[in-house]
Amino acid sequence: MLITLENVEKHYSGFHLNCSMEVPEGCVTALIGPNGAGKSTTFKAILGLIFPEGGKIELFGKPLEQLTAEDREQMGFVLSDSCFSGYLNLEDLVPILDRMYRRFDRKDFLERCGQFGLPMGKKLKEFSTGMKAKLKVLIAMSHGARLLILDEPTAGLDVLAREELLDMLREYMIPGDRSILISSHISSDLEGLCDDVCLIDQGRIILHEETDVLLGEYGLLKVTEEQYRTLDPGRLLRKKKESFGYSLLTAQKQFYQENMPEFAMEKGSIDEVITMMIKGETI
Amino acid sequence: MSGLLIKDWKLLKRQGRYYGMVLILVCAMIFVGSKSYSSFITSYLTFMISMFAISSFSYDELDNGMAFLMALPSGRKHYVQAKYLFSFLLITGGWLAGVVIRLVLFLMRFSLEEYLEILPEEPVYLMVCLTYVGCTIPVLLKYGAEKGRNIVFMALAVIAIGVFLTAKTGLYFVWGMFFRWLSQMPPAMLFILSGGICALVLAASYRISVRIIRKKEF
Repeated sequence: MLITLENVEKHYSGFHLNCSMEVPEGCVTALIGPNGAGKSTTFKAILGLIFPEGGKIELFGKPLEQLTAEDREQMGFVLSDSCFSGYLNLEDLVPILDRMYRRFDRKDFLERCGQFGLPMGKKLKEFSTGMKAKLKVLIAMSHGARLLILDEPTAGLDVLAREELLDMLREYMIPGDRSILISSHISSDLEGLCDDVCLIDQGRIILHEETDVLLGEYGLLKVTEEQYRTLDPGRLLRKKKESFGYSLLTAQKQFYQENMPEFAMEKGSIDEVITMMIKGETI
Repeated sequence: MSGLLIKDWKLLKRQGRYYGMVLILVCAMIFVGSKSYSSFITSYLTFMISMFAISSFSYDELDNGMAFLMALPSGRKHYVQAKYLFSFLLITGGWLAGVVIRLVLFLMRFSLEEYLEILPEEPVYLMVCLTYVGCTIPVLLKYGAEKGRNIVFMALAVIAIGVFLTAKTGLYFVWGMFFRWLSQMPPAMLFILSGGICALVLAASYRISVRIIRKKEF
């Protein structure tokens, strides 16, 4: 495992994080959830920016506090609201990164900056939101890290730039021994990139599922109240009252398609699953 | 750590225009300043550079930048080390520049003998500025650049008011004795004393700063 979180606890006023999750080698894992669910807190705990009050965090099989500078060089990260000082420009960043990371690939970094149209002499504070987002990801990927921890890396990017960046992340995973932990509000980004998905709500992981399973086996049943009463609750995860009756989330889409073809069934998507898991009632 | 030093150096260069103007102002004094006024050259230049060392914390904090810096492989302790080293090198460099400019002033308008008379006072400016920065850095790390700066100014104001009030009351003789004692001290002894106090403050300040940064959340 490249990341292991075991009952990691952190209290803030009105919020309690109690998170357990794993990111295996060779996997892209998404951490999704509504605003304030604990995604950024989890990322900060993994990066050692906050100190959990309980539980265990391991990176590369080592407790977080035992990581050396060399270990930390194996990590690249994007923080949603933080980067180098806005008074620096790209020309300034190159020697800084060069001294910060022994495996910093100056040529590749500069090439990619050019590819994304990032101006060398402009101060970072004058960059657009999209430019900043691109730069943060390029910095994270500039030194051949084994593990990328990306908090909202595609925020502020247009469709084309997002696709370009996601392609870079897919290319980045080719060696096979690398992993990515990523959060994003844009579920289509995650559907095409991630191997598995962890859904966090009110500080707890409430669902962990492989993306293929989630997209292939999860579905939304649309039923009337009468139809609902005939269903086996054991095959259903959540229900939500609608004007026509109920929307029901199931992880056994195929069962219903084969045995109850008369029921309306919608394909599960990450957005649907998030909405139902969080807003829906437990059955 | 060298990456962090380069970052601070690059930020300093971004402010180069402002500091260049300060340098020109100081150089202009060479031609108009009187002998006693010349102490302004070393003291002001050293103080201005000290202000930059302190302001580098504000640049780091811009847009929540501290979280990013703390997550870098260099880590928390190296961040503190880099700040102290950068401040020391910068202030010492600024002070040396001030000393050289003042020496040029004396060589051009007065004499080397007159410069040697005032030479013992020069290191005191360096020690005072290093001590000031040493006292300030832990406060900035603990409370953040903006709040920390206000706390330091308030503390300085309290000290100044305290000195003023005690001088106005029956305790004025204590200050009189203190300054008489300082003025009668041989220059070498004054240098050792101020250097010792400065070194002690910096060492204590560094230890406190490391402790603060290790406990701080971002």
